[in-house]
Formats: sequence, structure tokens, C-alpha cells
Amino acid sequence: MDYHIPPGTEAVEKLEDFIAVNRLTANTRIPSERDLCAMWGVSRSTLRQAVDTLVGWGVLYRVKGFGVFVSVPKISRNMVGVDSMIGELRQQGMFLSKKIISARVIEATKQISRKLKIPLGHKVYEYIRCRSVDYVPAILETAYIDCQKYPDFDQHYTENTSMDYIFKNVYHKNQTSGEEHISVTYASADEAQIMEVTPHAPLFFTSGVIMDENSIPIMYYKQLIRSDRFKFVSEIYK
Amino acid sequence: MNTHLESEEKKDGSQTVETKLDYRMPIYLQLREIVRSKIEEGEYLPGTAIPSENKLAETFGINRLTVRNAVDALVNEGLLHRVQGKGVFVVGNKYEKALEEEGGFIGTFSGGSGHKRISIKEQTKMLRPAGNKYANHFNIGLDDLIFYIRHFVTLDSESVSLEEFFVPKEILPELEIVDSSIFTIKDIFAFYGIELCSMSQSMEIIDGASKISKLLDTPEGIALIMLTCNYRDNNGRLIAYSRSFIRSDKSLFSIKLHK
Repeated sequence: MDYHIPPGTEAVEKLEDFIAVNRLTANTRIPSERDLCAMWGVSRSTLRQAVDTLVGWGVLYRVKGFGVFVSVPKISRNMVGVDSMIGELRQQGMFLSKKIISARVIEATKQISRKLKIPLGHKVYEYIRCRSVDYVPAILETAYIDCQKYPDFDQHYTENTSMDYIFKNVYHKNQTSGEEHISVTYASADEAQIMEVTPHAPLFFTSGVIMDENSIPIMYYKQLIRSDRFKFVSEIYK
Repeated sequence: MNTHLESEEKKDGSQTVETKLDYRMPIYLQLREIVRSKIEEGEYLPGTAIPSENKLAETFGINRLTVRNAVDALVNEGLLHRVQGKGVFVVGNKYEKALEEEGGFIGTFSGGSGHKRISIKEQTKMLRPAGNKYANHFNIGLDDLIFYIRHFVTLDSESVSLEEFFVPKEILPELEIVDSSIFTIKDIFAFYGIELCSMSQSMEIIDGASKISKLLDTPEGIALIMLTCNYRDNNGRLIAYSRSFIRSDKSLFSIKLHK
């Protein structure tokens, strides 16, 4: 029996392999369609479709009139532990900064009260922060913290401290386990402006509750994460 | 009928393995032992379907209801798995602890209300040469064969995801005969003694305007989630790669975080 790879699939795989084997770095232009067609003996339309596929997957991007380029690789957000993201990104050599967009005290909505296990209308701190990675806004985060359990939180927390640090050193709470939910949402006009994406651009939407050792909620958070900058990874070992 | 079955089970429950076929035994018990030994001796392989009830009834010249009783007994023991409309499949040994319990992305399909039925269809199963990409990926020769399997997953007849699996033939030749839509790839590895030791998953959002979106009937403007996974054995050898395209409007993921 004769085994073969369907031509369309083969073109995509050859292109992916070409980028990997030649170690093409971000923003490198790939050879022209004509050259690639000649090199691999594939038709122009097959190659174009292959490029379209990889553009769709975020591996390549097109610049009208200039050609096709290799995308900046997505940053891996390793889903290993609570609040490990910031430390991990720093380890990867990235420059992180954050900006507090809004800080206020609100009354717990149904959603917040359920997540933090507090009565409806109970006072909570709400922080909206935007984190930039290498000067590009990447994560828009909203956090809710119980005012009663963490009095004067607003006195301690500034743009130059981390919430993790304050929970640990001021309130002597260690964040332990949690579960994060991940889905897809689309940027509203406001969000698009803050995150420097086009309106309706797909974003990761994550939410979760961080607990202390006794499974009492410390913080409920929601994050919007740019999907062109991030991918989520998880390693599971036996 | 059920209580009758259970009492019979209990009577000889402890000696089932040593039970010798005796022509005086009820027929369904005899057939049960025949099927059991065919599984133990490897005539019926894990992950494959056993002959249909009609076929068994014909082969042994017995009533179909009797066959059903025998099969039911083995289904209850967990040795067989019945899938409505598809047949009865042999369940192999499983590892004690499923890898998913250790973490990873757990997907649930959502949409609408009420009870939903997920159906997985094995759309493609073929052998193909590894080619440049997978030769490098699996560290095998360009012309070495790999299985390519494509599943189409629907939820109440609405398409939700497309899953692709790439497995070198050399690693799991039995994949040729195993129905991959009944058992998970992890179960199939376990059936054939391949120890799955690690999984690296990656989740990305990709553009919805593609051929795959169309295949999945994705509404315009809705992105897809691409979930890829590398499976490794205890020597760190890559044994399988999977790639799923999941409609983001039909799914929700969660992951457990530890300190």
C-alpha cells in the first residue's frame, strides 16, 4: 500500500518544519511564495492556504506589500501554582510593570459574595490593574478583597508592592490552592483601548479564588489576557 | 432478572477465575467463562469489539437473551464496556491513578440547558509517512509510518471540537484495530502496557476564520481554542501528539492550582 500525506497538510507541516529547522526568529521574513513553491513542488494555491493556516494559528503574520513574517512567540503562562505567573515571567527575562487603573470600595454583588463567601452588600476592595510585559499591555486584572478581613489593605497596597507580599507579611496569610476557570471573551471598546488591541479581539478570560490554608477565600480575581501574547501551558507528571 | 444474576454471581464469585467449564452449569455462565478466557488469552484484544450478540448466539447455538446475560455479567465486572449503537468492547488494564487527576486543563462543554449527549466519531484513521515535521518531532525517519486519527465531537448533534492524534506506528501498532473513539488514548496506552508518564499541554486561542471553523460550523467572529498535548513514556520518549480545535463558545476550561 502506498502511504502519503494529503498535499494541503504536507504544505503546512513543511512550512512549520522550515521555521523550526532554520530557527527563524520573530519578525524574520520567510522566502517568497514563488521560491517556496519551487522548492517543495507545490501549487501556489496550496502554499497560500498553508500560509493562511499558520497566520490563523498565530505562527506567521502578513504585511501587505512586504511579505510574510514569523510572529513573536507567545509567552507561556505555566499553570503550576497560585500567583506563580509574575515570578515566572521575570525568570523568563521579561520586564513587568503594572498600573492601577482603579481602586475603590464597593458592595459585594451576588457573584462576589458567592466567591468570597461573604454576605451580599458586604464591603470589598476592588482593584483594576493592567500589567504590561516588555512594555506591551497584556493582562487586565480585577481583584476583590474582603474589607473586614483585610482592614486597611488600601493603606498597604501600592503600585510598587505585590498583593502576595502584603497578604504574607501584613496579614500573615499564605495563599494555597485554587482552581482557575478559563474561557474566551472579546475585547469591549474600553478594554481594547487599555490593552492596545482591536475591539472584539479574542482574549483569554480567567477567573479564580485564592484561598488560605483553611480554604477560606482571600481574593477573587478575573483576568483578561491577550491571546496574541500568551498561551497557557500545563505539565502533568505521574 | 437482575437479582437472579446477582445471587448467581455471589454463589461462585470467589472462584470465578478457576471456574471450570462444566456442561451442567447454566449456559450463560459457560458463555461468560468462554468470553472471559478469550479476553485473557488475547483472542479478544483490549479496545476492540467482541462479536455481536447475534453472532455469538449463532456460533454457540444459544438464545440471544442468554448471550446478553453473559455479556451483562462481564459488563458489570468491568471487563467489557457496552456502547449504545457501537457494540461491546474489551476493557484492558488501567493504571491505578489517571493522569488527569494530577492536573491539566479540564474541559467541559456547555451550551443550552438540560442533559446533553456527547458523541465522538472516528472520522479518519490512516497511516501516513512521518514527513519533515513529525520525523523531527518524534525523532524517527521521514518515511516511518505514523497513525493519524481524527475525531469529530458533537454535543447533541452540534459540532464542538475536532481532535487529531499522531502516534508512531512502531509505538502502538494495535491502534490499527482499536476503536479510538470508545477509549481515551491514555486508556489505550495502558491496555498495551505503555506507561504514560507525562503530558505537556498548551492552550492557545486561534483565529476563527479558517477551514476548521467551517467544519465545526463556528459562527462568524467566534474564536477557536487550540489545545495541543505531548505524551511521554517513562523514558521521556515522545509517544503521541494530539491537537484539538475546540469551539470557544461551547466550552469552558478549568485547572487546579497548587502552591
